[in-house]
Amino acid sequence: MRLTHLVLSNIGPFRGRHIIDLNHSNEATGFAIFAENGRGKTTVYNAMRWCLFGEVRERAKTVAGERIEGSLRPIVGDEGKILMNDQAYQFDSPQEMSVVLIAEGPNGRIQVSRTVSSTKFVRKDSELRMQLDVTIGSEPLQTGNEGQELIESFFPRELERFFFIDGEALEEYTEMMQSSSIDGLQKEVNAVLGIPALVKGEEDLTTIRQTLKSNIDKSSKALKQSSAARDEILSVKRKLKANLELVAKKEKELKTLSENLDSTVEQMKTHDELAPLIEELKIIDTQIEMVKLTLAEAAKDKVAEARYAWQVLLWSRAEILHSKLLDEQKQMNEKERNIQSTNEDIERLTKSITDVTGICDKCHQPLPDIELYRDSLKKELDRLKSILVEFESQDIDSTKDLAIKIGDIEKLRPQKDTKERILNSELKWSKLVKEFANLEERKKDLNSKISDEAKTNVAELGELKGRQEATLTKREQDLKNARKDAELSELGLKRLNRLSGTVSEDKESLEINQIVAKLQIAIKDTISSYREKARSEVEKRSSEVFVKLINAPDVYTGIKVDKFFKTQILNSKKGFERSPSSGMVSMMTISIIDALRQVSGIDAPVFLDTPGRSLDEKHKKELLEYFWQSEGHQFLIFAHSGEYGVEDTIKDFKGKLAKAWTLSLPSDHKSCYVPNCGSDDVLHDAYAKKNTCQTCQHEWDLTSKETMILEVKT
Amino acid sequence: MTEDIKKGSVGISEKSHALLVSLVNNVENRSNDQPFESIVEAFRFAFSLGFAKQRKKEKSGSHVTVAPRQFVVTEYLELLRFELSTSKKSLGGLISEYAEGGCELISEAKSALKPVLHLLD
Repeated sequence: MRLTHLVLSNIGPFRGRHIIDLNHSNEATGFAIFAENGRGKTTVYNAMRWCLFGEVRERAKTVAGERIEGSLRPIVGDEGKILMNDQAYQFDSPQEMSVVLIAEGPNGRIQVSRTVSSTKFVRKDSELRMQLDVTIGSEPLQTGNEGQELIESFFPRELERFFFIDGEALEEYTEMMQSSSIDGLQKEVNAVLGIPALVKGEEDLTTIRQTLKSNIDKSSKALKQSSAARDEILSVKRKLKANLELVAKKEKELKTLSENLDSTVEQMKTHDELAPLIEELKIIDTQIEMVKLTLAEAAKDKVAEARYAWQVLLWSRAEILHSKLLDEQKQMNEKERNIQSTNEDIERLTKSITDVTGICDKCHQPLPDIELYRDSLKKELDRLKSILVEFESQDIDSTKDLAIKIGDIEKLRPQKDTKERILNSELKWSKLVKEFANLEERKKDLNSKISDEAKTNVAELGELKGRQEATLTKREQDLKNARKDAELSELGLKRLNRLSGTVSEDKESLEINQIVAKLQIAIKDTISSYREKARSEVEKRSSEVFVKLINAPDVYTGIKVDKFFKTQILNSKKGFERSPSSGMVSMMTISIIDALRQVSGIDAPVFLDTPGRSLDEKHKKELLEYFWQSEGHQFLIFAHSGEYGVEDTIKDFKGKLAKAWTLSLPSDHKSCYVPNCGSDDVLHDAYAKKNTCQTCQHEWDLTSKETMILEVKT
Repeated sequence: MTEDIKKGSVGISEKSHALLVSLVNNVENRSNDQPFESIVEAFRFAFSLGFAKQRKKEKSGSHVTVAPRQFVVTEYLELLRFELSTSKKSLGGLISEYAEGGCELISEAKSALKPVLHLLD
């Protein structure tokens, strides 16, 4: 497949439509796009990836041998670097960006056109409409998903990395190749081998086998259950029979009991007229028992209260005596006070008589009639003594005796409410006695109306009925349980019959499983064989490329690729190069990538962005010498002027370089850049910030940020 | 107890004793009017009733003695002192006479189907 045209519209720094025409007249395969930084080299490289796969990702990272994919580059938006041209995004309405790839393939002309557009101003990719159109030869136009599938049928997405090679990401490739990185390269290796479907198929077979195994396990389990069920059926049948027999027996018993109860009820009907009397008798018996209990309590209370009845009786008379004694006590107290008072008077008078001196205390003169005065005092003393004798002769008990007597009498005094309580308890008891007597009377009366025989009959029938009813209830419950057991046995039997019935070994699944297992082994062997073949082929081809690239066959003899696609450089001593230079490693990586590309068998151009990174001048030159061979594929490099100088490259690779372009801004040009002019006679207008060619009158705006693609004459 | 008052013993006639015994509570038959816990209690009631109603009766024929430890005559000395001082009777004898009188009253009440404790009124 040979790329003939690349058309860019409003992508990156490319404002408007730009066409890169790769058609050329010679057999050279080399193409180069030279540019300073920021002029859009990588945009051209990304534009092709976007056209083919609809997305551009930032560089991937490799952490511990595992590749972590870069984030998706947005087409529009106000943050970060967007794919669409800024001017187109901000000022165009509708906003639109497109890339068209045109190539010649074995089946005719291939044209891939991808466009995004909006009907109004949008800021999000999700609001853009994407259109993909793919045509191959005379086949009908395919769009959308069908178009994408068509692209990937001739250019698998997994192999993108072997055709769009990012020189700045060579270390990522190297990392994967030098470590045991079957995981890292697995997808790519499988894609190169053309076996993703085979691998997927093998995975699908594993899933199928898991399903089959599950079915077989279920079948096996069911088979075991069936066998166990057959063994169990017999015993369950026996149990069911026994249960059914028990049910029949219980039903019979219940019937007999029920009949007996009916008979008892019938017999009881003959005593219907006595029934209320007997019922009343029962009630009276109960009441008598209750009254007996209450009466016993009342009698106890009465006895307890009667204990003090004698006090009530005695006090009716003792109270008078008690009052009398209290009066005597008052009199005694009075007498004692009088005796004391008289004694005091006698003592005072006796002292006065003794103390009379006959001299006045105030004037100290002898008193007249002193003897007369003494006689009067003596007379008064005699009178007091006679009064005292009179008091003392009164026949009144002493205070102490009286207190004892009063105490003795008071011991007989009842409490205030003793009588009331005694009479109340008596009343209560009397009432109960009456009630008891009435009940006894009624009982006697009832008994006289009911003969003892009838009473016995009714009582016996009642008891019989009670027993029969209790037994009936118990038997009914037994019958219920027996029926339940029988039902459970029947259900168990049904379940066992079901389990033992239709189950058979899942032979079909077993056979399919065996076939699938064989198929799986065959596929695994095939994959393994393919891998080994690919490994051997990659080893051979990468060694050839490597030897050509480094051009030192006496030192390095090739590349060793092990079964995990781990690579090492072989030296002429049949050993591995232990510490190769970074340039050597880059060459090895490029060799492996090219070998994998060759093994994939895909006929497509190779695009190498920043090819000279990590390479010295010698290797840079050898790289192009190798890839720009006339019999090779188209090989387009996107080089910075620091990697490959335009003039030198054109000069050094004359005949190998088919076409070359430069990407530049108008301000990059001091000479006129119009093809076939190139005049140095340019008028620079610093004020207007523009240059004007004095030969062809072409003017260019020095403030413009729109990249121009200019073909360089090779 | 003064010199001139004799203590004496307490007793009642067999008939009265039988009456008092019939007044002692019988747990087997609570319907009977038997309000007293013991014979001594019944005797004390009979004495008190006789004294309250001033009904005395002299002992005659054989009699039954009431247990002196359970019926302490001196507890009633002050009550009967005056009467004792004017008669030649012993304390126990006077009490027995009143008890005998009380028994007569009880007997009359019973004959009239009157409850014993209604004699308090």
